[in-house]
Amino acid sequence: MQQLIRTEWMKVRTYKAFWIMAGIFVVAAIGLNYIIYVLTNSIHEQTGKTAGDALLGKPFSFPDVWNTVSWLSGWLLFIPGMIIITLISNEYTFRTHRQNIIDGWTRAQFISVKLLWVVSLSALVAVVAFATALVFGFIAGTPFSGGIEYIGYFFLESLSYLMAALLVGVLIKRAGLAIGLYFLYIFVLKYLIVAMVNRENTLQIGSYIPLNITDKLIPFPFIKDAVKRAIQPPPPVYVLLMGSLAYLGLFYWWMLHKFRTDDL
Amino acid sequence: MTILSVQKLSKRYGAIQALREVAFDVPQGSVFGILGPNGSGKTTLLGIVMDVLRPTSGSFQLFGELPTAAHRRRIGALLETPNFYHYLSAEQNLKVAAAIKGKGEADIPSVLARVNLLERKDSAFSTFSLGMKQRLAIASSLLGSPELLVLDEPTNGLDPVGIAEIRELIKSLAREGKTIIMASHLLDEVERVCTHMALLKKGQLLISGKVSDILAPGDIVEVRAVAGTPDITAALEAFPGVQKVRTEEGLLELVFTQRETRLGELNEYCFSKGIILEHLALKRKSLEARFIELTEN
Repeated sequence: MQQLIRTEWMKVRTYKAFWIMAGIFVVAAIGLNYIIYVLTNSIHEQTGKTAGDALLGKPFSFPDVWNTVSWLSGWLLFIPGMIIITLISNEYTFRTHRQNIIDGWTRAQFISVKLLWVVSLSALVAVVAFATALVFGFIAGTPFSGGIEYIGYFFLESLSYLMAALLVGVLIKRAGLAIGLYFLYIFVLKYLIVAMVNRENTLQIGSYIPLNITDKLIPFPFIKDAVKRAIQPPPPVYVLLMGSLAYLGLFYWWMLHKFRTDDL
Repeated sequence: MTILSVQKLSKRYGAIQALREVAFDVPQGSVFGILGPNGSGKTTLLGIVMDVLRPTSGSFQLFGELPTAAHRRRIGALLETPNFYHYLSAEQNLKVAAAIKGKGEADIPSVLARVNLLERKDSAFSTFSLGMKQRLAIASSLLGSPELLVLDEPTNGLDPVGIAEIRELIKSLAREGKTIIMASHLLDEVERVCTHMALLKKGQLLISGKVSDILAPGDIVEVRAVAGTPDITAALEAFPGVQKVRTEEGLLELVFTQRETRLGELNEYCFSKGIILEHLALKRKSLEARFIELTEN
């Protein structure tokens, strides 16, 4: 395992695009949270503290900051998603997916080591979200308090987004097309399907489609009271967790099966 | 010992039968050429052996055992095109390959030197010419001094000097006792480098065995005696070096075991036997002609 990780690291260590995209994610995560922080502060200033709190809640105060930062950072998961698609499609472009097998990896090892990228990048983005939440929580001048489970949900959300990216990369092979389809699903189709399916369906089956089910783990962090009254409550957390894990398993099985049985 | 044993291997791509029940054995220490025109199934065959393609049916054994990834780590292989990370340098690419093969990095300078790329070890792969890429792929296949080398068209993209160097390299590897399986569409290359060969055409194995047996290396001489001469076959068969005599379009063809037949001596011999020839010509059969003959329906 150590050898696999070391080899994979050698491939990426000097790959500029990887570092640039990783840097963009960190800057964007902090930047996006900062912009919303400034915006909510200005609303508070304009409406007065009491009215502002009643309207928006205290999204950047502990404990709500965990929810807020996780939710906002979730919008940026397409960046590590792009990293994963680039890493896997590079292998197809350079035909090194063949060479790695020729040189002595098993097909399962090739896929497993890419899975390690999904896990490590998810851990990294979760660490970035954790640090960002901590910093904004203290800047907001509130004492530290719980709600840290949202970082765990965010980690699971990231795992799902990156696993989906890896699956799309393995199925499509070409970077441009894979990234295009990935964006189409996470930014358009996902919402379209949910809206269409849930409109005439009291069971809200649309909520359970891939990636949307993990999105539901982290609720909309602003105007919480109004939201609670306006929309149907999401399915229980344990259902969301089980569904998310089931998709992770399914995605992994699918790509492993494809890579093991295909001509490379 | 048999290094590679292929048993009834077939591969179908949709309507195209790329390999049809191909079977042969590669003996240890041989330089085994897989010869065939473009599209004859050479790369498909090697792709199956290196596990990048799935056979439709049939099986094969490596080093006398069912093939695994561990067996592939004992093989140095160059398949079809040089496959490397474009943004990594030659040396970094070889480090990746060495790590996958589970070999140390100590070999890297020597294999780069062996293919004359040591000076360019820090250049990115994307800056290499086609010939340099090919040489890097050969260097990669030499990492860890594998027992078996699988080289698919190893002289592809090389200039004449490069071709000569790689052929010499292959011969020197063979002298070191390594087994080499080499696919080529160049008959001349197989004849120069290989000890054994398999001939493929449209996915079918036409013949396999020792090169010397398959590509008879001797001259062919055409003769015709003047009209009215009785049968001279027996007399010609007695001439030193003649393997057999056959009739071909009104001419007699003498098949020699070797080249460098002296026509003058043959003419003198016939005259001494009372045979007067009105036609005497050296028809050295080109290798290509033999190849075409073998691959014809």
